Amino acid sequence: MPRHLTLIVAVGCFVAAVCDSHLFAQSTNSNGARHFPIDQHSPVGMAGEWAALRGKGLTSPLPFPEHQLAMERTSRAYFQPVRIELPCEGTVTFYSQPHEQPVTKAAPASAALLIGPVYRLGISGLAERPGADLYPTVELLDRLHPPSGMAADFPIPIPFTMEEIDRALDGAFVSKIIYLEDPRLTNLGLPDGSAPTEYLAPKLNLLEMADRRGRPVALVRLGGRVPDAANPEPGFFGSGAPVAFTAVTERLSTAKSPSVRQRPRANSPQVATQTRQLLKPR
Amino acid sequence: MTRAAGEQPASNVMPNVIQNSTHSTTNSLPMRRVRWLARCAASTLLLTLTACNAAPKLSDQRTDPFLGPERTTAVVQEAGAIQLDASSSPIQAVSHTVAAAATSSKPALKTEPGAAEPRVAVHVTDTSAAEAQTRLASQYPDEYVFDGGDRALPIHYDEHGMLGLESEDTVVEFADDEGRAHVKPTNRVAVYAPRFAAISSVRGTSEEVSIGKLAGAYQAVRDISMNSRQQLVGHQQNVALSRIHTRTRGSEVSGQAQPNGVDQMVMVSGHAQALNVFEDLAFLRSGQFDKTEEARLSQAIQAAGNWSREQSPSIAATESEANEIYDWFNASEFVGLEDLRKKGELRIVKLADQQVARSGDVITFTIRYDNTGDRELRDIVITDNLSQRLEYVPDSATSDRAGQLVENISNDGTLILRWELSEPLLGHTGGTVTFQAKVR
Repeated sequence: MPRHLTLIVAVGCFVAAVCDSHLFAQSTNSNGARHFPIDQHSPVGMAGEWAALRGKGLTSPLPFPEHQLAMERTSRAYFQPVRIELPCEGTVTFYSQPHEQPVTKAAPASAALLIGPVYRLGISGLAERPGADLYPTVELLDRLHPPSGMAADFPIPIPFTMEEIDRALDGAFVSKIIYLEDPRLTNLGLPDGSAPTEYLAPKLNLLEMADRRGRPVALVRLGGRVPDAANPEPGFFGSGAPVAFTAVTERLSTAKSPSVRQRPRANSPQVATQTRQLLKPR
Repeated sequence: MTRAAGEQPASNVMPNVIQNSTHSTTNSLPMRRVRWLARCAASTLLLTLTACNAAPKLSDQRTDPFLGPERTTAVVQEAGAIQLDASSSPIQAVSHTVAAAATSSKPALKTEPGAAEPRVAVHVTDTSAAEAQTRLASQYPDEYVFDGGDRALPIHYDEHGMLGLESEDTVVEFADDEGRAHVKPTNRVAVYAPRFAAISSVRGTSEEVSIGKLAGAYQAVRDISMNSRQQLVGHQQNVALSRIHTRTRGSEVSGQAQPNGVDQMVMVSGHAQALNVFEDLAFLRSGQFDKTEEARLSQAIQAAGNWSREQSPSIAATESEANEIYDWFNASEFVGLEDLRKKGELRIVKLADQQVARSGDVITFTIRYDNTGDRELRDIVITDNLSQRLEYVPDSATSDRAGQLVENISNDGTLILRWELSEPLLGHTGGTVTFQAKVR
């Protein structure tokens, strides 16, 4: 076994031993509450890297500790479809590898990203905020497991609200966790068809809050920082991880976003105890 | 391929359904083998028939753009939801959907005459894809909406009624011909319908206030002395004893017993013995043998010898008495009626018309129940506690048998649908209830 491969396996075993129980839960205190060492204020890319080390971004699960191997992670990398949703008309630019031209698509824009790397997006052309340019980052922490052949039909929605855009334009820093709701903890009061956003105090650990409500799948950071054209920063446009675009995602992008379309919300039946006779065919 | 249920035996209508064991009923091993073989035969037949007509469906293949062409599978649009509980069945891949008459939004089952046996269509999907999907639903349940089965706490009863009916549970209660009550869960239906939410926090430098130095803490603790005097209060109680003197005088009884001794001295005054006649011999009197007494002595010696013999003939007489027994046997007749019909057994299957769904989609659930035995079943009640993710579409519940529908809200806020069938279910008959629910 090559020397560097042995070193990678050793480091992987160490990291897995540290964070094997849960990505964000290493230990439990005396009260039974788990400890979350990573939060939204952790360095960019740390949460995604830990997720990748745990084998979250693989097409099929591997036994321990094979998922720690970079070679295996690369060969079995899974592209998770995402859909970037804006509150108004606008464009979304995906920055991938340095030698490739960035791809700009109209919102809602769909693409497929890897779990772990940091992706830089560009938001511009907002109809309600002319001239505004924002460059959020996206880290995928987990993937979905839809039925075979339907991965593109169930992307992870990454919505940006107008309030978040305005705060970012004012110089604030917005951190956001997209999580998969636990079906038995579904908030029935929230509107259906979209990813509702709940605002919490910045001192709270969003990853911990999301883990209590379901399964965190994406970490989004949005600020007012823009690239300096005179002195371009090499790492500003992400880690250079590839972005996949397919015809399916194109088809998905043309479909109306659930957050945009207005569904008539059915009135919840206010039934206490109702009894009615069933029809008898005979 | 659509086939009406009336065109084939009832045993082939639902060949892949796993029989959830009734709580009070056990199946013998030979019967299970026979059923397994029957299901295999039915599955093979259906696979063959479907392969002949599968060309239009196979043309609708989708290639997963992210998994590569090797993971491309056929998508059967009409496929029903995943039957999680049927994983052990060798024909698990066969899924069922109710035909258009049952799944369409129009309540065809309400008005269709003679709908005791509704039309049921059987579709066949890729075996590996179905197994993989079942495995995924088990591994990642947070991406699915489940309904049916008996989740977590099993259904049980106390003196107040049914307990353990949680959300997603669907059970049927019925009584057999002997009046014994049974409860049986349906299979579990899984529909892929992930739902997302987001939490966000905003941190701005203009709003953040931090204190880097402790302003100090002052805490004055003043001891306040407390004197407490406790005086013991003596409590004296004089209890005057009322003395009772009791003097007991022993009443002595003195008695003197004087021995009344009687002394008598008996003096032998003499002894006279009279000899018997046969002893009147000189030999006996004086011990001298007289020749004249020889005959008499010989006779006496012989007589004494007879008495000294160890063995003497003895006569034993036994008297036996003959006993006569008289008995009378009454002819008796026992009349019994043995019912050779097979006991009633209820099979219940829950189906969904969609395999995947998004928020806002309406799913039609169909619950098919059949009495596979010969004897009738009574008091059939189907109870479905909907999942939190499912919102019942008002007035969408139907039934092809007479009864009533009761809607109630559980303590968890979920809706409980309860179909109470008013008529007994005869052997080898069945029925269907349907309802629609919108995915939240």
